[in-house]
Amino acid sequence: MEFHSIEALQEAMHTHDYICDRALATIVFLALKLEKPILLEGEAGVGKTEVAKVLAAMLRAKLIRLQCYEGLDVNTALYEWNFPRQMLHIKIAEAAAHATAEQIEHELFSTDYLIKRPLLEAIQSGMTQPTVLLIDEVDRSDEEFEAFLLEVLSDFQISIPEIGTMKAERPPLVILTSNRTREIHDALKRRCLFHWIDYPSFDKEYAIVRTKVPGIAAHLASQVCQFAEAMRQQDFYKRPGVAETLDWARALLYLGRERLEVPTIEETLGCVLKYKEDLDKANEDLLETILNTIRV
Amino acid sequence: MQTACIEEVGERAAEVIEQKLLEFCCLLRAYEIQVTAGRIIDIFRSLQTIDVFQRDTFYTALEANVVSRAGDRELFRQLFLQFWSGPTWVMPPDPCVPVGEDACAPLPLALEQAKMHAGSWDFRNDAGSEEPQQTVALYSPQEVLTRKDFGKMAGQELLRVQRLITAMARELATRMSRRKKAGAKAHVIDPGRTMRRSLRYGGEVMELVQRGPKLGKTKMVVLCDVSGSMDIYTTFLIQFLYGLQNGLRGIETIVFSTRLTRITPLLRRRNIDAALQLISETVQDWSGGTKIGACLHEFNWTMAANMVTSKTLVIVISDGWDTGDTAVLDSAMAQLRRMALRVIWLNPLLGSANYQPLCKGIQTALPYVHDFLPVHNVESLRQFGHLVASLI
Repeated sequence: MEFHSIEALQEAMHTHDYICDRALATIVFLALKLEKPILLEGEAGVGKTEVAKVLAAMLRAKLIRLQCYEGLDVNTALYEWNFPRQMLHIKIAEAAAHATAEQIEHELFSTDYLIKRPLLEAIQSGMTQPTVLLIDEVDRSDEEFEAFLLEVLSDFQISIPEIGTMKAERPPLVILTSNRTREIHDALKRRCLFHWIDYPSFDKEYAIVRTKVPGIAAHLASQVCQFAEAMRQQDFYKRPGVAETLDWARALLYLGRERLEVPTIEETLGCVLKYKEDLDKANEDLLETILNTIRV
Repeated sequence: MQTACIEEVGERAAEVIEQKLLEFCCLLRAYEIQVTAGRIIDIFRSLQTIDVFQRDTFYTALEANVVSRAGDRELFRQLFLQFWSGPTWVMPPDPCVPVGEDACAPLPLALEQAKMHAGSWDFRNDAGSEEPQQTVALYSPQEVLTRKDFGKMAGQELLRVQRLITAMARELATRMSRRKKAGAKAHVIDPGRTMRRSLRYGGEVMELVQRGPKLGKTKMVVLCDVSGSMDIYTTFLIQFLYGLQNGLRGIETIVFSTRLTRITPLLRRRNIDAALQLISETVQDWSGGTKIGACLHEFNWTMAANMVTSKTLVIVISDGWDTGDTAVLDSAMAQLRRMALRVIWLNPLLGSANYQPLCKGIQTALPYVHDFLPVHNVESLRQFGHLVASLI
């Protein structure tokens, strides 16, 4: 699917229920044109991962996700030989005694015995169909893995000694996200288009809530967004993101509340604040104060 | 309003824009935003696909290609506004020469148009082309700076050194994590490789191939004294800790003077200024007196259980001026030494030639300390970095 202008792309994202500002649309537009990865940074819950999901839906592409974590290594990210199956194959071949050692070896290291992990899958999938590769929370991976990632992202080519080199005909659209628990290495950053997703403005968040929580009344949506905005001004350990606002709006909707009041907020505060220290801090007085600052 | 990508604005105008862009990149470099040749190429490729007359699009395209650190966004914004502030952004269309066809236009006309474009892309009578050079010159005497005592620095030097320290801490962090991989010892069987090796012997497992486990990340706990006597050094040290914290996981940072404050989460802010601001707001006993013994004792009893193991480096940064009881310090240090892999004491006063560790605090603590190092300038931080890298 081709987009000829930034506006068209922004519009398409809107129709897929992702309210995005022009800057983000520009970045995505550039990424598609230049075939460069996008590095999205921002606080937790501002919709970084969602971008990849929406883009996949929008481009009718296959979404492949690689969730990073400490200790993630090449075997789990790229490929691994299915060794129990290989073992079985040897035993069967032995029992049947129908093949020479060369034949067995040839069979053992064919793609049938390859366990494809996300990166290899993305490259193979890139040969036949549009693909979006989401590398989530890359800051959690180890530095060594980052160096390896750099290699893959620069030419989308993987060499498997036993099989040969695989190269994606059309490189997948790559989205990397980071929560900044540590800085990512400059070399990796240089390969990417960088974008910082901030907490949304009131108008944007309101639009998001109205889109994502269809049944909600305008009045309540407005109150929820204002309250969330005010909460972000407070010094919490973890300030609520858009994801929290949406959870909260849904919770209020299911509970049948029509307006925010202190008891209602206290009941549902677990949707917004996720740390005990923060919950302790958000006592009745603070909630009352914040509630009073909201225009009705 | 006109719309055109860079290929459509005409050859001369494109040249002017490209020239300006290169100048802008030089300016960014002078402010230590890394603009590599690859990035410049990508900027030009970007301009082929977007409408260069739209200022916000142009801005986003440049930012995405050039900025890669959240902390640099504000700096980029300011430089952009300063550099690309022509009298008007939208170039007035020339009725005689439709855009896109001016390559065929007579030369004088094309020249005219280029000048016109240059006008709107210009800023402050070309002052920008000189400014970067000035700034570069100002940044050159690195060697002198690395040896200068933090306490004797001012203004521009401070800024410069702050950048240097952050960069160094990040470099150190990367090196430290690489070492762990090299030092890994093998003792787990790697089934895949064993399998492959067995093919040499016709499918019989004759050799076991082993795989090295990843060593657990060595942790580091930094206890930094922020009492009054340490004042002139604290900013730099926090800077260094900020760099380390953001480059490497598994570091805990605690500041103390009369009580302990854990500042690890505060150091994870988007930029160093915000972090410093927050820290100074949170730490209530900033620049107060020092009770090293009591603080270390409290640390041992409250936080150490979660932070210190036999693999942990404990780093104490203090000048050793203790107003508390030395017996408390003595037992606290002894306990700390028992728990930790290594105790390193960094003392800013050690930098001066005639310093003798005479004050009570240092004398009490010294027997329990593995390494006693100065920490008064960039060079000494580097030394410290080497030591840490060799330990873990």
